[in-house]
Amino acid sequence: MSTLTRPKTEAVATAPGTLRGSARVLLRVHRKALWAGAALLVTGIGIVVALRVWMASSEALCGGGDVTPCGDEIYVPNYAYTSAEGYLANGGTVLILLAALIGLFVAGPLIARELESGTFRPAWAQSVSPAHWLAARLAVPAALTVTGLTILVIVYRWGLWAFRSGPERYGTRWHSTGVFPGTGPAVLGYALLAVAVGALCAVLVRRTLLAMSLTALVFGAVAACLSAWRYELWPSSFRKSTDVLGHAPGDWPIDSGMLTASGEKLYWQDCFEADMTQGVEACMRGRGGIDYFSDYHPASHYWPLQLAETGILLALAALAVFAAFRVLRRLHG
Amino acid sequence: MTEAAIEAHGLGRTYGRRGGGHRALHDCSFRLPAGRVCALVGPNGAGKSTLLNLAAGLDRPGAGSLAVLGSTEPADVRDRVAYVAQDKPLYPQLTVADTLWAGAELNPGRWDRATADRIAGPLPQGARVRTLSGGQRTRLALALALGKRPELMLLDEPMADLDPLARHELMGVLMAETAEHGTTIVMSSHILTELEGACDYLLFVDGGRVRLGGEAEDITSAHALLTGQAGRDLAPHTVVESRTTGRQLTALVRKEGPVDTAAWSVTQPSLEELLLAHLRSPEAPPLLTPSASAGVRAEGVSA
Repeated sequence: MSTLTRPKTEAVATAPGTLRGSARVLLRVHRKALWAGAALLVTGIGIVVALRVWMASSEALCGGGDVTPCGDEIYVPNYAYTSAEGYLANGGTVLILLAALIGLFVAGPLIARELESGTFRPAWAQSVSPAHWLAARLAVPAALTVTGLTILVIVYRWGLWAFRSGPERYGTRWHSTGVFPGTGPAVLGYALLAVAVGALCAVLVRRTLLAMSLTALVFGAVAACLSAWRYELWPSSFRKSTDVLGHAPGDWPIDSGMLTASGEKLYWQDCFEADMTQGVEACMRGRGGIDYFSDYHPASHYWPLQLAETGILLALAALAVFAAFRVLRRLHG
Repeated sequence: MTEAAIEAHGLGRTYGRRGGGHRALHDCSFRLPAGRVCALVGPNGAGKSTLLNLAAGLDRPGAGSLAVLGSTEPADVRDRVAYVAQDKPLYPQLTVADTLWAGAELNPGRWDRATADRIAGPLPQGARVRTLSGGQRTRLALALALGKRPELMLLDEPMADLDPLARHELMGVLMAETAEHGTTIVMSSHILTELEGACDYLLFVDGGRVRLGGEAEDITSAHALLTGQAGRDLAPHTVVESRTTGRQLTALVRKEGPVDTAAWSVTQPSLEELLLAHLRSPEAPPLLTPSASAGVRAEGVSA
């Protein structure tokens, strides 16, 4: 054993190469999931297109699917419009569920199953460092999801655009829980958070089902919290008047009631249980209410609210990614 | 001057919680010179897989230090080390051809397609990995490992599910590899006969540490099987194991000087007898030849 000819090692820049290689191998291994994702994308686009075609081809006397003569005060939408409104009123929720689905996929089949079944060993033994291995499993789903969801957001906005004429619709108001997250960058934030939380849960518990359940729990909790406290993400506008206040179309009412002389806020709900014989108004007046006030988000708060929510989601996602790499590094170097 | 392929100092690794954990390796020190074909033997649960896992950079030692190919951080040299785990994990949904393609993708600049294709040649290229038999999977895993042209190959129970013919063939491939490129190979097994003949170096792991280490020949020649009349003194030799049947004493000793051939009939024990004797006598002191002793720079013999 005297001839120790070392294998020729070309000093090539392996770092970007292995990440690219990891990504390509990842795509090949999960080819079926990729097809399923593409099918979901096409289905989403197809549903919106079908609804718009249905609305466009439905009979109406006037814009917005109105079946009453133009110019009168009455608005009665046709069946296509009411149905489409019902479906599109949940588009944002559907997109968040899609984001959650991707998070579950990252947590389960993409990372935890490899850690559980040991297929990470040949990958890591094949010149791919654990950090690169994880990076590929974050970057590929993140890039694909952002691309796919961007398309779906645009398509969804185009779907809602059908309701631009006609009066404001209750279900598809911009701030409605089922609509708001799906019409802007927030849903991309949700998707990236889902991917990051999925990766973190997977490297933490290393069990497919457990990691998926944990991801669903964490992601669901974040989504529920943001949905409940979304109106707090941007300071609301304040309006007061000596007359009863109505809302302009496009306003998101948060709170309303009356103000006392000292400026203290009295809310309507505080008087709901008051003596029914005198009425709520009298009850408020009896407590010292003088002016009417209303806290609300005007339509112009759409972008600040979207961006604030996206920012929170991205910050949480960055935290989860950082933690996932830390956990992996601590365990495997 | 032979450099060390693996050098361990006081290596320790405990699984599970502190205190109640299972000590897979404990104060394990040894040295494996480069260019050797080494049999890593020991009973089940001796710490063989743990040792290979650590050397492959998939796990971190809990105590001590481990240098692989001169790097104290085994993870940094992972492109020069190939590792085949005991259960030969591969992506079950990929075909044989896809798996080899993945090997090329994951080893940019290193992949030796000809070698990988040659070893995987008898496999059906279009078959999915999940449909392969155990032996076929081993062949594919070895193709993947050899395809990256490693300087150190770590094979955990590589031959366990191969039939004798395939075992012989793949062993031949490995031997050709090491002869041609000076690749260091470490093969673990709990069945020594599987590796005997192919390996020129031995690391015998038991109870989380290396009890015998060195050139297989040196280790056997350091011991002798003595047969003589019961009651005779075995000093100055170190007794590994002795047995008395009637008036006859049979003892496996580690020679500490010339053996009195007048009093004893001396035979050379086989490697297997040697290991069995050590397994039965856990209190026998460890033996590491100079080239296998960690920390001691081996003499510049590279002949």
